[in-house]
Amino acid sequence: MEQPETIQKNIPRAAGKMLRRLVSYLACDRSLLIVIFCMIVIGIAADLTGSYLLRPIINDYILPGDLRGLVRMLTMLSGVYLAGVAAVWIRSYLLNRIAQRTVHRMRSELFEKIEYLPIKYFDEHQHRDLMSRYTNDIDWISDALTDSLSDMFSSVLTLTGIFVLMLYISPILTLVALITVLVMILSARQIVKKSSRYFKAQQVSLGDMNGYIEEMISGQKVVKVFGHEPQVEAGFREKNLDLQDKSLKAQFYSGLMMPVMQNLNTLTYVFITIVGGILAIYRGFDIGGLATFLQYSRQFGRPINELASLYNTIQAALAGAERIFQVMDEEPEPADAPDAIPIEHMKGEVALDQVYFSYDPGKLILKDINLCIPAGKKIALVGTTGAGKTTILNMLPHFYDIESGDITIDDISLYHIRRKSLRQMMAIVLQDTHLFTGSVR
Amino acid sequence: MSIPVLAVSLYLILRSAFPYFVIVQQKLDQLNEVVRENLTNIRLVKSFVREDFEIGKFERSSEELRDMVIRASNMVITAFPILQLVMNFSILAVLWFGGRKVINSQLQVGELIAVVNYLAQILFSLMMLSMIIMTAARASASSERVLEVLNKEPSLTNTPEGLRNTSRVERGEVIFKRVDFRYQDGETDVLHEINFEAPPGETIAVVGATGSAKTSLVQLIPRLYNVTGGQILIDGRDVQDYNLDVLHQGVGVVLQKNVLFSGTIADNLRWGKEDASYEEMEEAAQAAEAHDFIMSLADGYDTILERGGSNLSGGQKQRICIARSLLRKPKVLILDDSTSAVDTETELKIRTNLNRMLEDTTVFIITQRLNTMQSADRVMILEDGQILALGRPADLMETSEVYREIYNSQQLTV
Repeated sequence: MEQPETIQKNIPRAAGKMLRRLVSYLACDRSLLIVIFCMIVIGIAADLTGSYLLRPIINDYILPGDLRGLVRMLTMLSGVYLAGVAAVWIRSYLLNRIAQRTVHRMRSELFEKIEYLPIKYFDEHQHRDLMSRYTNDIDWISDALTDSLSDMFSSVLTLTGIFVLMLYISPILTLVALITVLVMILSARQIVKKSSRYFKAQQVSLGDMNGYIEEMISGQKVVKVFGHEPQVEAGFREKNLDLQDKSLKAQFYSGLMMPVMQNLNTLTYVFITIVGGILAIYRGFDIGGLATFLQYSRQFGRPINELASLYNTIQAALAGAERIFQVMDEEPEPADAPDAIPIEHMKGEVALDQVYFSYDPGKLILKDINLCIPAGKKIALVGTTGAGKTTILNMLPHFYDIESGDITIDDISLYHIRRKSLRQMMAIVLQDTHLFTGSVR
Repeated sequence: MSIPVLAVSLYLILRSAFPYFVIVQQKLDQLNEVVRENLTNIRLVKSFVREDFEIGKFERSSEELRDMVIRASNMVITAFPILQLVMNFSILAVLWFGGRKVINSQLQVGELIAVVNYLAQILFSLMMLSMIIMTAARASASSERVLEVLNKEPSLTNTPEGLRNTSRVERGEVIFKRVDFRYQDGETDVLHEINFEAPPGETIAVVGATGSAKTSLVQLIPRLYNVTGGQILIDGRDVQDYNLDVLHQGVGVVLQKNVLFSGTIADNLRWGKEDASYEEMEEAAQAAEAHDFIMSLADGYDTILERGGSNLSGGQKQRICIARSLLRKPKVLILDDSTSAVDTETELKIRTNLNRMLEDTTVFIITQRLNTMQSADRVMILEDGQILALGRPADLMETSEVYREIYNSQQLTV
């Protein structure tokens, strides 16, 4: 179980690489991405233009009293608005598609990888842990890839656009705005530091609780039979309370973000109004410009907010990605030896020659096994529990590699036969019976 | 004026998106099921070289899920553009009407600017609302499912009689009176007209072909299921009239599937008795022939069990489960094929120990092994949910052809 602190340390180092790897999954839909890019640009342009048009509308048409001109401008404005809305819609639609397709690709790749992992991996890893990678981790990643990346991009673009326009309207007011922006950024960082710590703790707690639930529910007959319901409930309550505690703290700090940012934004508004008003009175600063500037100052609160809270989502996604890539980077069942052959017919003569094997290095289970079994014979394996009966059977379909010695079938070494063709020649009935969901056929 | 328009459109969006999200959840379930099956049974998959087949199965499931999510989300993402559109036209309207008023000197420019700003603020808030609406759509589908579970009335609770009663199981006499049983969704009775009386201390071997409902029968005794007809009496009292805790104290069950939980071996044994001392645990483990192998482990009773006991062999797990039940010192003990993974010699030792320890305990032991049947007081043969024969092994040899068949099939052919 990884501790939150180690995750914290590892993230900065591998973050860049992992981010690039995650983003590479998007590469398949490259053309769509370009369209989305354009849509975002159009959307932001429409947004900013819409606000900017306030200036001429007020200055050149309302104040002087040009009604017909006003109608013209308003029509233009509505055109701009429509373009903006359409762009946003198209963007969301495409983004949704891409995100889902990417997640599907990731899921499939992960599953494919798992199917071909050596049996040893499953011995060493809890399968409930693997399950959680599927559900929780991929969820976080899907959220990050969709909303977060596009939000990040559009936020940065919006901020740049607003900044440029603000400068154009009034450098002095921009300065005032910048000061408060700085304050906003600093406080955002503080809040995010606290909240991300608790978010990680929350994830750990959630994983723990899920594991507990799965265990207790799959063993519920035993729970009932021993009348252990109260204890199980108490155990769950403990984990639930822990999760509640971590979640509350995480939500508290992330919830702090909005009001703090809003208030700072309002303060900005106040300062700008004051300075802008003074400028308008003494330096002839145009009212339309002031109106537009105020509009913009409202608008840049949002992107900063988004960027700050994105930090948490991206962190969670990276943590999830790390766990998923961990599995994907595992060595699959080693390829068949280069000279491995498929076999068509098997007579069924099995021989084990001085076979030594251990599941964990150092703890030998099979010691110097020598067997020679002619074809067509039925052999019963008897012995006390733990003697190695199931182990010998595990060797035959080449589920594991032996340490030394050789196993041959029809005088051909097991390790020179292609695994798939080997297993197709065998039929195995395991100790734990299981049927898959589906029809009998 | 714009607000009602907004409200109506948001409502419509939610309504239409909801059923899609329900389906999304179902597809997600399906997908997770495929994953879980494969993870648990990877050996099976590999033995039958079904990796590619399973991969194909998964791909299809995943594609279905993907398409469903896209469709559901498509509905919901219309919320924000609609919102924006309404707001934008509100601004236009304000600029038009307000602008005219300013031109006619009915309104101050400053007031106009203020209103536009207010509109922008409202837009911001409504945007948050639309995000919440989107999440609500998804959440409502999930909450339906949660509520479904919460609203289910458990049928295996204490009856009013059971709540009042605190009497314990003293002797362990078990009587089945015209017992019928079928599973909740079952079409036919799994057990029909089961009648028998087991005096305290008797050992009854329950045998029968697979599917003859042996497990179902014994699981009725500790009320893991309720009978659908007839009565089960323990010490003359209906099992439903016992307090469930008391019932489970007096009736011990070792299930067919050996489930151990994370924790140490001692932790698991203490499920049988919370405050069991090491001596008590050792005693139970000795009887179950588990003590020796436990002591051979590096940490002994404090060995941590991983993944429900995967670092132990099947037989070792079974023996711990037996010891766990023995700690209860039950008056009725049910062993459901509990020594299937244990070799005959060890099984004989366990049986001898049990006979010694549990002389006064009524034991029901489901088994396939002739030796076990021969050493029981009586043998019950079940077929198709009815009792075919019930009697002492020696008597059954003469009266029951089925028993003779079992006997012959398990004798060593020299």
